[in-house]
Amino acid sequence: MADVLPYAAVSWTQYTLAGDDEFVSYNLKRLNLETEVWDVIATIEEIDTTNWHDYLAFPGSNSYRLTVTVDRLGAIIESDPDEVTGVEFAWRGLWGHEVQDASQQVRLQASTVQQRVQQGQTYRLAAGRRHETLFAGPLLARTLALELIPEDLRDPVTVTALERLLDRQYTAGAVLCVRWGARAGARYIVQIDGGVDESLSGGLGRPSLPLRRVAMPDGWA
Amino acid sequence: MTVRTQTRYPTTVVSDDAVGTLAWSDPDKAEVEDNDPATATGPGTTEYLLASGYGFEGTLPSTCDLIEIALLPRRRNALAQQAITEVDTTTASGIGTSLSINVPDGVVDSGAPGTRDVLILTVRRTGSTSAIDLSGWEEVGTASVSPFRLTVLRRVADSEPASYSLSLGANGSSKHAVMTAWRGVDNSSPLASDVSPSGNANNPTSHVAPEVTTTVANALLNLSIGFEDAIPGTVTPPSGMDTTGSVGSLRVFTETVEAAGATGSRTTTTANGVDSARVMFALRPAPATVVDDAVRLVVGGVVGDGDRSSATPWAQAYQTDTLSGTLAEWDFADLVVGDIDSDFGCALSATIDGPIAVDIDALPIRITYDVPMAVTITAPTADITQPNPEVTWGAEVDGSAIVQASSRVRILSRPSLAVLYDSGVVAGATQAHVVGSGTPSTPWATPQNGQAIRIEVTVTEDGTADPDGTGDPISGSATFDCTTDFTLPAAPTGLAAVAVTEAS
Repeated sequence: MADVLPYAAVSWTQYTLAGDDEFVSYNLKRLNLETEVWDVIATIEEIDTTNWHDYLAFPGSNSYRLTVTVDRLGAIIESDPDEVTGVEFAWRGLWGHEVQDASQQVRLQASTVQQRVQQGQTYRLAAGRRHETLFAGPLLARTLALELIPEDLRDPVTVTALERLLDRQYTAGAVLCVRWGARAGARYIVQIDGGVDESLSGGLGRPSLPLRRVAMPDGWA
Repeated sequence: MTVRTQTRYPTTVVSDDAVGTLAWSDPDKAEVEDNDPATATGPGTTEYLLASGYGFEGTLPSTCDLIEIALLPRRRNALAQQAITEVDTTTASGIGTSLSINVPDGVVDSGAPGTRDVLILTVRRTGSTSAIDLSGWEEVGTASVSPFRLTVLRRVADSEPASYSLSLGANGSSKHAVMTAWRGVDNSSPLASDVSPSGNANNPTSHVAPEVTTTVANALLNLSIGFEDAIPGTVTPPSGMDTTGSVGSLRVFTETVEAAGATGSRTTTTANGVDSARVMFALRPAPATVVDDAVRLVVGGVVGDGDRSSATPWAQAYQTDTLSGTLAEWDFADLVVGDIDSDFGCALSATIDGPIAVDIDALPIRITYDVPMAVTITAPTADITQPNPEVTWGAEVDGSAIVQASSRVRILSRPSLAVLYDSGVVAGATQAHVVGSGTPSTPWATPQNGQAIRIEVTVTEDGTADPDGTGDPISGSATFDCTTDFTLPAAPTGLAAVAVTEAS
């Protein structure tokens, strides 16, 4: 069975306008399991478009809401929502894909995910001191370390996909969505932090993929 | 506070004999200003010209304060001078050294200076050339044709005796005299022309008196002519002149000359050729004045006590006079708007000091008042369940008429009070003007559900609907704070989501 990047196929009934209302958009929202805010995941301006594929769905249970916005005599008014809950996702391993282009994806057989918060720090010679002093900066970097299994890196398709994503980080400013199916809500917006360690190429030890969490631009929920 | 005025004309005017004796003819002609007047003829005091039905009721704001009421009569004393009329004439003749002549009956010889009769005495005598020394008389002119002489004297009547005795000398010569009392002659300056003495000693039948030049209209031309003792036969007066006095060889002719200026000569004809001496001159008409006798308000059909008459004589040409006063000066200190009804009006009488007709063309009344609050706006309301809501408000002038207004409606965002919508001036808006309905060119800028807004209405009185004719714009405003609560569109239906993974 071919691997399929997990997504939620969301659909609805075409809206029927009332009175002098003019259609503006469908507004599809998903409940963010981390922030518990309904993120707008799609704004669809065609009234006859009645479906959406959500490739950023969280592992585990997802809830969706759909509203419509109309223009009534110059006023932009949003309707009450229709809601669906309990859309369950579960899969083995880890999927990573480009947020803006889900076709750019890779599947890894990760076993663990380690998180680390790293502060920006440096040692400087302060006036009147003989030794350097640690200075802490405002930066707080949240990094992830995916413990992969060696077989991932023996598969040339997987390596090629990883290298392509690395390349797109440079050529297309790609931001990745990494979802770990074994843990509900484990969805991270990241960029690959550096690359694959040289020592992994020999197949020794547990390979690791370093990631750095980044802020997700508005509308990429 | 806004000071305003209203001026209105009566619909009913009558002559009321509560005062005076001179009735107004055609009093209703004082209802409109059209140069077709109500008229009263003196001398004496007129009746009241009683006017009512001005129509102020319902036009004055019920809560206004009355400040001043003024009568604005348009009137004139067109003639402004009295007509000269003959009171009586006496004559005398004799041949002695003296001649006695009676003072005419009915002469007015007392009273205020300027109101008395003027006496003109003409003496023709033969055989004496001495001046006539008559105390209190002033010589107008003398003409001599030997052997006779003609002298004219004048005097403003003053405690006149029954007769005057003239000392004329030359016993045995003929003497004739004529005395006329004239009424309506200007006492202070009786003559209205130069004096033209003349004579002929060649026994003519045509006796030409050279012209004089009058300085006023309606002067009385006076021609005295004396003949020598020879019998002149039939004496024919100059054309247009009347014989005022005739005795022996003396005639006095008179004529009213309407236009001021050169009179032209006057020719007397006699049947027989005879010498003559002549003196011609003109008498000046006395001025005639009209002043107010009483000017009063009428409230509830009753003439008040406050008199706002003016001592200034009426003008000769039509003029609108202002006879104004506060409520206290009219003796109606407690007058209120409710008293200004259909019975409200005025009464005016006049004193005319001569036999002249005076005119009142129109008798409007002007009321000045304060409006305590120009426009009262009740809070606007709006159907805030819809965008661009219909906004309604109430606009009143002192609880009376709805103002046809030039209004402005704005919708502001709270609390910043940024302007979301401004209707601009809505000429002729009523209290139910709809804002933003139909296809507004500038709709309320992207209103949002749940948005806090303020609806502000400003009503400005439209000058074209100005109920009191002042044209002063007056305005008021009110606001309405609310939060939009639009009716939402229906929720979409049929939402479904299917998870697609490698296992599906």
